[in-house]
Amino acid sequence: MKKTVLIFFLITTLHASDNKKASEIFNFIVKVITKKENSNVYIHTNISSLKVYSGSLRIVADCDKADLVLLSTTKNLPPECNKKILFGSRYSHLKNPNVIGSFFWQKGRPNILFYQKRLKKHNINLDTSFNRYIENK
Amino acid sequence: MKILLLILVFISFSYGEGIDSLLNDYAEESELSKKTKDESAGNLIVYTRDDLERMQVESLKDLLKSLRFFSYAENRLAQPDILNLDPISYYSKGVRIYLNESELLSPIAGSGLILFGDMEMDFIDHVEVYIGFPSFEFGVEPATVVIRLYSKTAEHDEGGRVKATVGTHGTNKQNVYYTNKEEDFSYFIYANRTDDKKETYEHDGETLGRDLQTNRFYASLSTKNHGVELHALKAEGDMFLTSAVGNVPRDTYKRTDFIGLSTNSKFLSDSLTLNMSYTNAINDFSSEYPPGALNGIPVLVFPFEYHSYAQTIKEESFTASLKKEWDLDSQTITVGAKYRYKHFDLTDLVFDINVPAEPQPYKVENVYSIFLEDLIHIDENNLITLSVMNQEYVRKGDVDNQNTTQLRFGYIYTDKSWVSKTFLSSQEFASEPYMTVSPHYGNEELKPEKYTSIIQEFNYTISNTISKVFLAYGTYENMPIIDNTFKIQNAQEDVSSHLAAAELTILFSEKDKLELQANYFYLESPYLSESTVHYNYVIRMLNSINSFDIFNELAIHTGFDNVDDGYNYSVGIKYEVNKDLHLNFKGDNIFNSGLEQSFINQVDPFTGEVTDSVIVPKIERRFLVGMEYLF
Repeated sequence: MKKTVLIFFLITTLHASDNKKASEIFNFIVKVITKKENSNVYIHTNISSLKVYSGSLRIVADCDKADLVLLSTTKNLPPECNKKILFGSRYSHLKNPNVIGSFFWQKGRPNILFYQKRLKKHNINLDTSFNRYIENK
Repeated sequence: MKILLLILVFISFSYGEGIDSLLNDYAEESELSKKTKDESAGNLIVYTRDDLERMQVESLKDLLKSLRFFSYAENRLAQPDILNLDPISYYSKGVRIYLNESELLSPIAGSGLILFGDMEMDFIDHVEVYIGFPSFEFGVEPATVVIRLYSKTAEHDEGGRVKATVGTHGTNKQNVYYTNKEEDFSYFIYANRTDDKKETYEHDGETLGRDLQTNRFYASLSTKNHGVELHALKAEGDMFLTSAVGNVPRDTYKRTDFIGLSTNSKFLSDSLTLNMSYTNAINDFSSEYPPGALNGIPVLVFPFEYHSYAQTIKEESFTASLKKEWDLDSQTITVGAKYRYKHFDLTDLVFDINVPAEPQPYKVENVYSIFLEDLIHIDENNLITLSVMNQEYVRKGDVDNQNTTQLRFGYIYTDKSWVSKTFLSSQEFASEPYMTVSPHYGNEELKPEKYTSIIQEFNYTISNTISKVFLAYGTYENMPIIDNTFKIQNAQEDVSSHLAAAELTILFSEKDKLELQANYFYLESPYLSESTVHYNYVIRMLNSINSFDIFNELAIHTGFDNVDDGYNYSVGIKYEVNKDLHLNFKGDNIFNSGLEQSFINQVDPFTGEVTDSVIVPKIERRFLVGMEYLF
């Protein structure tokens, strides 16, 4: 076991901690959308934080079995996924009208944004703590 | 293990607090400065992205104006020079400035601060300032202060932004950036135009200006292990008072065209790094003086009378740095070999009278530098750092080479609340080309300067309060000074300095903080006259209320030579209209009572006493309004 001072320990744990935090946020959002403790999630194509820490999410290999689809890109999305609830990881994913919301970075800060009409289309009611992240579009 | 437990407790605690808290924790954990800063490298001040955004930092001088121990200052040519002491020497030469991994270098001045000390910060994510002889890992040559600027990345700034700002005297700035991340690479592209207009000052019937127009382009392309950056700058404007002491110019002009290209690569699980950079700059200076302006007073810089001059200074550099790190059981050993080529040409100098051209003693300098740094991990709380670096300066022509050595010992203690850093160092600095090659004030016989210093810093963090105490003592041998013929010489006497600072940061909430700073700076005069003693106090408050970010800062500077005490109060308000649109207002030095700077104009040739000075504000009063649109 290496002897390591706190400074270096903290530096090396930062990246891991980053991924863990991002995973927690994805987990939280999915839980609020699906109202399930353990949701089936299809990832198109790769979200690194969930690759490392999937949390309570069950990552499935087939869109048909998913409660929700998380996107790292909207390109080449399998057609069967379009029937599912789509959630993005970039601001630009919201340009796709089937994407209900996104968790993304902007101006050096992480952001979450949902569009009200798209939530209604899927009969999704988020809890009130998400009110500030919903836009009337 | 204790810390791991704490982190886990913290994570589980925050999980229960809802999405707002999760997002804030994530923002804090992911702050890019946490990945780049190196606490063991020296005495560190970090301005995070959040600080820069909420303080509305428009240019680097917005940070330097209230930096610990310093106040932003310029030289007679309106070039950034935070340690300006006399009309000729560039005392900020030890202040090294980096953009990501490459140094923004001026081969002739030593420090790129002279060109980049007031550059706009719209493409910068965060800033680290290492005060007091930091780690040798950073550069080829030693430094007194290292300023590291990190550009924005696709990771944290997806998409694009346009920004426009207008302000006092017609100052205006427009810039745009776009960044994107693909599967295997990411890129960032930025372009800026700034027209920085300032107050003009009447002196001896002439009008002195400090306007500057800047056009900048920056682009980076990164893959997992490699990066390439292109940085181009064109800046032109006024040269204020010029270096011709005793004359007030009628007309001045300066222009710089700079281009920098750099690459950085990592190999062997990031343990081997190779950084290379190339810079090229052409600097034009010209000034015209009114007929009869000499008024019987001898021109002090040049031994003849003239009424106009024009000079083109060409600079070029290439730097290569190879560094290997071994992470062993109880120590981390880093070895580096670095090479720097510098070319500088000052011979293109024309006066309105026939002055025979004087040859430049040397135009090329090759610097070979090696360093070894050993971080010894004694136990969980104690770390020792041992560093040694050596440079060989090989100069073409008949000028003697210089060999300089730097030694540094550090001890760092860390626990949950306390951090103590002790650094002892002995460092030799080679004379910079501008000090040796000028036929008018240069001196080929200059010896390297030597600094010996001890620095102690204590940090204490408890709940939402961070306290810092900083103490330093140093001696300075062979300090370059101006003799009575206006030639640069090494001071005969050693000078000493001591510095002290106390700082307190109180976090009232996640988005509300108060910073209180007091510091003291003492430097003996190399001219055997009065010592420099000054005090700085800063009160800074950052608040967020709903969609508003509010910034207040009062910087008080007392004890500066020949000027009144300065009270610089700045305020900023930023309003988030929606996620895409932000509006901002900022006022700098709004009561027009900030610190001023005194420049010598006339000196009594018999007594040597200053009989006339030009006094101007270091930071002028100005108001800015702006908007940012994200796309």
